[in-house]
Amino acid sequence: MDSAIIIIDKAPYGWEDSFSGYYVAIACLNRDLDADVLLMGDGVYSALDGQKPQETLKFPNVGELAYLIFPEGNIFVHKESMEKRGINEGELVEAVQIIDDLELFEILESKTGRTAFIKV
Amino acid sequence: MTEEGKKHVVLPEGVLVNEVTVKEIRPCIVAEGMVRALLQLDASIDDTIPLLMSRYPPGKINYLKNKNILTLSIYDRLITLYPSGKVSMNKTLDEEDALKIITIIMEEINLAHQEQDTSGRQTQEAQEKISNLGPLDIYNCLPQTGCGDCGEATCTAFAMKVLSGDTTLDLCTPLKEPEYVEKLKCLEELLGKQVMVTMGWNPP
Repeated sequence: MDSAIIIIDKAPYGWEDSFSGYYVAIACLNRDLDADVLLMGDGVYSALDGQKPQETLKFPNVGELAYLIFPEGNIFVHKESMEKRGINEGELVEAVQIIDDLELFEILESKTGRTAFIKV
Repeated sequence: MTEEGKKHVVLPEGVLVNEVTVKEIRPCIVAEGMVRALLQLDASIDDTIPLLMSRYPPGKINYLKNKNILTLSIYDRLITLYPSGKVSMNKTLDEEDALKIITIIMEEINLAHQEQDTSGRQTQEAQEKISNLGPLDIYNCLPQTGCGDCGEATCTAFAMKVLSGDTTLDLCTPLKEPEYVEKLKCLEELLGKQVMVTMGWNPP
């Protein structure tokens, strides 16, 4: 395996998927394996800036984990998913990159047969 | 687990940034004793980030213009600075190490901010020129005598090391000779005075 794309499509906190997904990416990077995170569907909520789960849920801020991945890895936010949920770019953490359907296709196409697509 | 909200006043007299808060410290899984750190400065550095570029060797910086995000490859780690004042750092020994390095960077931020106030902003074109600089650009402005005084086998190797910050420009002794004054001017036009100093040039 040369690289990994971790796909997160569930909202944070209700499930642990997004938190785990970011952690898998960090673990890959720690092992010198290229890793990117793709946020789709409700997964885009994890990229919102200003989350304060520590105060209410006693849970770490998932959004800030993006800063520990970039720039070694990318955090892609699917534009259409974002727009469907009424989220605009200014509401996201700075470490993410918004991609449209065409860019998503190009990213996926650029990956080799030795890329692991991991949906958490 | 997460260490949050640890505020440290590291530069009480700083003109822009004085405090840093340790937001996240995540252990590195394979490198024992290494962590990834997320820090928050006490002020926005949106206007200062482009000016910081001239304070580091071009080979050590990566600038994302559209997001105004600067990544420095220094101190054996990647340090990324965001407009909001967030700073991420990988391959860091511990919190103390992170604070030591961020203090040095905060000093540079304050200096860059001060210069912005006193000498005005550098033009966007100049910043872009620096971020797109290649070793050949520097080589073309060197005397190219192949003297070896700098300790490198060739002037091309010297140009590459100057760009990456692994050697200093003042080791090129012919550059100090009057007959190569045009080459010196070429470098000054290419880099600007601040980058020349960053690359180790000491004006006589």
